[in-house]
Amino acid sequence: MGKKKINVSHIGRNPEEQLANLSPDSLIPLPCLHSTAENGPLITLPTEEQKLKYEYSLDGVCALGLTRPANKEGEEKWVRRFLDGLRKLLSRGGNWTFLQPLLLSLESCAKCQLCSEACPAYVASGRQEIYRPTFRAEVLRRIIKKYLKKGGKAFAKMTGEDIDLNWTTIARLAELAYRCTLCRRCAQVCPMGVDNALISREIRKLFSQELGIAPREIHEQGTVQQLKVGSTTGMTPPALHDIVAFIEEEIKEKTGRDIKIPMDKKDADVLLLHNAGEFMSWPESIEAFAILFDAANVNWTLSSELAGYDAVNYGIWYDDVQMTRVAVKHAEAARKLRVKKINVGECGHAHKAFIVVADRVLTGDLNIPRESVFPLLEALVMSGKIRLDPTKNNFPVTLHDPCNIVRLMGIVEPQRRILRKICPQFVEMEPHGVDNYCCGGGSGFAIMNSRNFKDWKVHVSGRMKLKQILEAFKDVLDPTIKKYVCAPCSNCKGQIRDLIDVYHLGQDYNIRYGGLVELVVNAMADIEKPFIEWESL
Amino acid sequence: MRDFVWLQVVSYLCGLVFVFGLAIRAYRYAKMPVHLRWDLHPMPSEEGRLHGRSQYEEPGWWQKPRQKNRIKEAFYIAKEIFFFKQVFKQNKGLWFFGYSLHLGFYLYMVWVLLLTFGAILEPGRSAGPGASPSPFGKVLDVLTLGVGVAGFVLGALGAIGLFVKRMTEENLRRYTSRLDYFNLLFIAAVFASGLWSWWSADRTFFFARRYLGSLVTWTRVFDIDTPTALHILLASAFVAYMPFTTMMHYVAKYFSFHNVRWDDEPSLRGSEIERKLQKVLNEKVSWSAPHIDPGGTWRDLTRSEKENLKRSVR
Repeated sequence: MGKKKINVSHIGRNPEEQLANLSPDSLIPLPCLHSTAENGPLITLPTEEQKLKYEYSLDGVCALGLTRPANKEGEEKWVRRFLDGLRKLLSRGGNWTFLQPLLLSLESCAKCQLCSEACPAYVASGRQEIYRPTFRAEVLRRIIKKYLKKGGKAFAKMTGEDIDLNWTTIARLAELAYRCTLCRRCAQVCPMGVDNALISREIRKLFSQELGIAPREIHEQGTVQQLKVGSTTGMTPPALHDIVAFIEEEIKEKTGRDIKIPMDKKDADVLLLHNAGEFMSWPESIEAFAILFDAANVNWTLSSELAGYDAVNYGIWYDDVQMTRVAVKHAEAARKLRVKKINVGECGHAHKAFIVVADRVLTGDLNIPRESVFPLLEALVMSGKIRLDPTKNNFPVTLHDPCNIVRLMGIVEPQRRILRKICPQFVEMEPHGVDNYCCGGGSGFAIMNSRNFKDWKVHVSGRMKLKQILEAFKDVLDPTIKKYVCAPCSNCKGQIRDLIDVYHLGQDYNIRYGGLVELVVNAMADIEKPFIEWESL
Repeated sequence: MRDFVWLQVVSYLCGLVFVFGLAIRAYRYAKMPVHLRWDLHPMPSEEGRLHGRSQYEEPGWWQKPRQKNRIKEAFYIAKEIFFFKQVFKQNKGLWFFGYSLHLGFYLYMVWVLLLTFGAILEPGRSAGPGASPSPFGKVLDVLTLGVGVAGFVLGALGAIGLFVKRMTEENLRRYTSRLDYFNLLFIAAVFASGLWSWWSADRTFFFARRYLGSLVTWTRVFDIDTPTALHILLASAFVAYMPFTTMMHYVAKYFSFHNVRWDDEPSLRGSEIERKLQKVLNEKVSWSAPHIDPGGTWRDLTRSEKENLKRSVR
């Protein structure tokens, strides 16, 4: 299907028609891909039952599972509640946390559209208008002007910036806020300093904090579960002890080393905070850290305190209250153990949330030094304490830069210096570092799989990354050559796993993925068997 | 002799409105509460580091002195203000007209300053439109003439070019309101009227200089030709109008860069940031979703268990 001419004012009109129709033909082409992944419809069509029940009217994709109100009164109630939330979002008391950044972005856009070409979702989608970074921001601006300013309705008509605020607008805007990965490439190129990703996040926040609307995977199964049972994975402290015992056995089996992973050790130098997804899906990362820290005699510990063993903080993507609650729990775990500092493991958003954003909600005895694990890893690798043999990593390796770690935090070189030292065939993706492309799983997408959302994140938001991976390995695509995408972030790994799986990159090109620390341990000279088990990747 | 005191009054009032509008806007941004960090890399002030690398690359970053290179930052800002580097890098077509428009404004401001200097430094020249007798005055004349005409031409070209570009390019047209078109036409009218005034009646900018001189010295002015009067009227109206439009984005831009994008000031124990936070943490969490406890404050959310225990003992 071809592209329709969509304007901002269409957001509240024709609820029975989708604003965008995605098809394989509309997407940007990929290099050297023989996969059949794009035969047939790009996005799984909803069943009749789903179509009747949920909102698919934005682009045929449903991330939130919103249900249309039964009658006019119900619709008016939603509109009232939305406007209440919007007033709070724009007020000092309601939103001290982001008022200044939000208002600056709302009030200074020159509508030059320079940001559009920086957005991987917009470009990869074949430039669908609704994914343009300024589209959702402009929807919000027009609602504010028309419904919250004096004389707004007459002014909107006069200037031609009219917009209808109804259920369709609310539902589409809520969905649209989840078509941005918050990678902030758009903000980086804006000459005015406007941050359309922040506007997406603030829209999400309005929906969550006022209307109670957020993706189930991020809210109920995410922050709510983490605060209640300790982890977004559902892993409780007793389950953690079992898994750690299993990991110790695995280490023994792989390396012959008897390593006791320190748990709840008081006064340690380092509290290592992993994304709990690593315990469940990528235990080799936990194993590798334990092996390396043991070999380097690091005085470290894990915590089994509630939320103290799961670095994730999904609140950063949608809700300041939940973000604060989770960050406080993390700091609380460290305070109780009296550790000297906290090192955040290979998890991008946890880096940004805990080290940077939560910096201004952690005060007094919760203000404990926090840093990334990458400088520590680099110090260990470069210290000479560990004998490393780069020939053990003699296969093509490329590095995916998690947005939260590079563009949003400025940690660019430590991971590269490590790779240059231990991976003789390390090759950069282009662009990389602070100019990188998001994996497509940012801002929660990596864990969002409800209804047909996975199709969107794999085919649209992840497409640029897929293209970059294929281009990085273009000279070594021969499937007899094993290749490694180093993605030092749990959510990025999850997304890259899905990309590899859906596009058959493992079968067709022998492209695998994993973290950074696994490569370091794989290069350790005094470990006989290769640590990286290619078959399991 | 026609008395133009009404135009002088209009100019004064418009100037006052501008100063007032600018001050209000800057004050509003400056007085906003401290916010959570949302910085973005690269930052030009990162001393001794390459593209985008931050303090967080250092182990134990909080124990090390933070180095900021304000000169590098100033260079970055200057390149943005005077050359529109980001826009040039990304869209040369847009840069041509956008830069032309802004350069027009910069030259116009310089022109006004030169005229004012001329009027103050050589008050005797108000007698007639002839060339200045002094060498300094002659240089000033040439400069004023070149800068003024170039400013009018570039400003009008930029405004009209952007108007046409916004009308004809779909990705711009979709997001351009009638008000945006009006603003561009208004700007074009200001510059075009300046050009008309120069071409038709004021080739040496004698009248313009005399008018600005009269504003500075609080003296009445008589006999201004129609094109010049129209230009003064339009320029004054524009000066009063601008603070209430998105054309004041340069004020927001300062805060967007310094207070958001480049604000990487950590909240270390006992720091100024921590002091400011004590104030905002008293704010009530006023949101209504089911997972938010009604009536609580941000301080309640951020207190450690130990502090909570102390409070309950009290």
